[in-house]
Amino acid sequence: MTQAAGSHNPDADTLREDALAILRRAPDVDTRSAAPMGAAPGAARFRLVMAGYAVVTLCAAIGGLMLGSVAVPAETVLRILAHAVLGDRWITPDWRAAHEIIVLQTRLPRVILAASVGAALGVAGMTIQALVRNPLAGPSILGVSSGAAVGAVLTMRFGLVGFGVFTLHFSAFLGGLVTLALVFWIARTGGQIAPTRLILAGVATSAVFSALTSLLVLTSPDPQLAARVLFWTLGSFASAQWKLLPIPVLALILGLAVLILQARRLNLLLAGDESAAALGLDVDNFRRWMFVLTAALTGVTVAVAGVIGFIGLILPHIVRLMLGADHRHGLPAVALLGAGFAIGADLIARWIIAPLELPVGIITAMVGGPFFIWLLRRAAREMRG
Amino acid sequence: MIFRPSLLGVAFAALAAPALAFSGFPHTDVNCDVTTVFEAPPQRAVTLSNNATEIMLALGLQDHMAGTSYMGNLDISPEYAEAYAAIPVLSPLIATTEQLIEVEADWVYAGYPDGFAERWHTRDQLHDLGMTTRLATEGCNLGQFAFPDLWQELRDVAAIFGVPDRAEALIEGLQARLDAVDAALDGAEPAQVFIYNGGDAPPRAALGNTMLNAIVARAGGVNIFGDIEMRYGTVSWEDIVDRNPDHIVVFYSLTEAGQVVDNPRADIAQARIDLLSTFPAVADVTAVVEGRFHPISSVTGQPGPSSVRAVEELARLLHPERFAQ
Repeated sequence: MTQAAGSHNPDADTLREDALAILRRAPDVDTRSAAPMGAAPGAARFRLVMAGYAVVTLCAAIGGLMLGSVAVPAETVLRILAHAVLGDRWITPDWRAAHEIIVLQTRLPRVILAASVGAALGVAGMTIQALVRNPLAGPSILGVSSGAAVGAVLTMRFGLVGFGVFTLHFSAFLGGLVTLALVFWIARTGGQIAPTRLILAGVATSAVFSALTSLLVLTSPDPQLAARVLFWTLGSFASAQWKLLPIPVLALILGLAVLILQARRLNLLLAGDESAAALGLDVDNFRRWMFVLTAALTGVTVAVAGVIGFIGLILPHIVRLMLGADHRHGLPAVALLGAGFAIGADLIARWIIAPLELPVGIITAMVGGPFFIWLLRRAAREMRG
Repeated sequence: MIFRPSLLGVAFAALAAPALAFSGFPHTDVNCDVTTVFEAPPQRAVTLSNNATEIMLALGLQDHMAGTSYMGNLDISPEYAEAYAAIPVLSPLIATTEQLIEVEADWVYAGYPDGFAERWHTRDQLHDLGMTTRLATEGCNLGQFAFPDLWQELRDVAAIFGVPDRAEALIEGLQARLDAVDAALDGAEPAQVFIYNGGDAPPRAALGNTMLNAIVARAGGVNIFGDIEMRYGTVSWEDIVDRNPDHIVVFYSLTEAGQVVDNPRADIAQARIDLLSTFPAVADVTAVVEGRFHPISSVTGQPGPSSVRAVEELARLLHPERFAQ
């Protein structure tokens, strides 16, 4: 390792080197597997992978529009969509108005909500992993999600209305930001962020905030609050409506644009704080603003869809395995894959015990948990070998 | 908020009765902080619970209904069976948003709050789709709920459909049956009753603001947790032992963990009785020692016309000596 360890705790050093090894391994995999494809594989491979992700996302989206508790013929769904885009000139509506409402007012916004939330979580996760140079970090592990949930539950519990219809989103955003600042502050020692401390701080903060959420629920006179909060803490796209969509979609577009513009700087961070500083990056300041941005992205997703775990944790790894650690390619790729993954997970959540719906967080956790364990085991094997 | 049905509601109502001017319309319905103005009676009502279904049928409104839901494998009361069979059952569970759109529902009526929850559809979501909604007021948890409040619910629903006379006739009949029970129970010592709603760690109870609380009171009993001003909640085994109920009403519905069960009476109610019969903490409670368990399903235990039948049946179980012959 070329990284000069800033900490003098040998255990922490080991963990950190281990973490960095996982983050760094990705480019090696890239080089090895890409070698047979010929020279300058980066751009071509990026296009290929993006095309693959686009197909996955498109298939998931089509599935999301086709399937539901009412059977609408596939052809009708396609004609309704085409009519919505092209208008009366090309396609004459011959379907029931109810079917058009089902497709355009319930299924389509739901697919778009899932896509924007999945993309935002993937992007936020990849950024956080780079910021703290720790592959085990993610929006939920750092406590941002549980903090955002507390913000949202406070609003529901006490019926706060300061910002009209956006009060819930604002309070979730604020909750996420405060939590991230808190975790960051706890983990900060001598100007450095120790990965182990960061994760432990995140776990402890999450535990406290989860308890706070439960306390707020159980002491509430509103009998419906428990069900509403359960919905939040496990995540769901069932609240999808057009009027809700501008917030997550705008947050995603702005966040992704800013982060892609900052992709080179994120790449620099992977080389270590000292190296990045030597190359002219104001590391502390950069990191602070990037944290605010990721907290905003995560907070918005929690506000519209509740806490959905593991998307922000596992998808960045999959993307890095396929594309390497370059954020200029990684961020758009993880956004696209996140969109497809979330739509697909929602589809499974709706289908598995239809017409009942499972919270989508259960599906992402059941896929994500084993992947996380595999990641840990692989790291352990490589330490031995 | 004030909500005027815009898309579907007015369109379908207008289609169904183009030239008629409805007496009593426009009608303003105020229900749990939601104000709805009806220009005409709904024509494609859908119910989201069995008691809401029975309220509609008791008022003879089956011709205004596009579907029912959430009956599972419970039985509709015999007097409504014929009308019920003629209406499409949209789902054994709560009808989904897509199913409501599919049948072009213009008014969606839930008998208790399960019907309007984030995991299915909130009232706001349905309003945005052009539907109007109502939640039976017991579900709004406004305070103690008693039979006069149920009569008001019947009047409110009848008013939405422009048939206030039917509510008065229905109430008159139901009130007469309650009066008969009152007469039989005159002067009887109230029995102490625990209304068990499943669970063991901790047990769940129907509390002071439920219809069940009112049913027990009218049947010559006292809900031992009636002093808690909530609908349902958890209690402790210690408190049950301390308050030592003479009888246990075993409340049950149609689902367990969200899934429809085949035989609610056997699979849910009897399972709950078995649990109480063998649970060490309550082994010395009078009701358990005497084996006085009385199942009441959500068809009669939730607010609706059959709540009166629940009173009649429970009164006989709590005070058999008053109903000899």
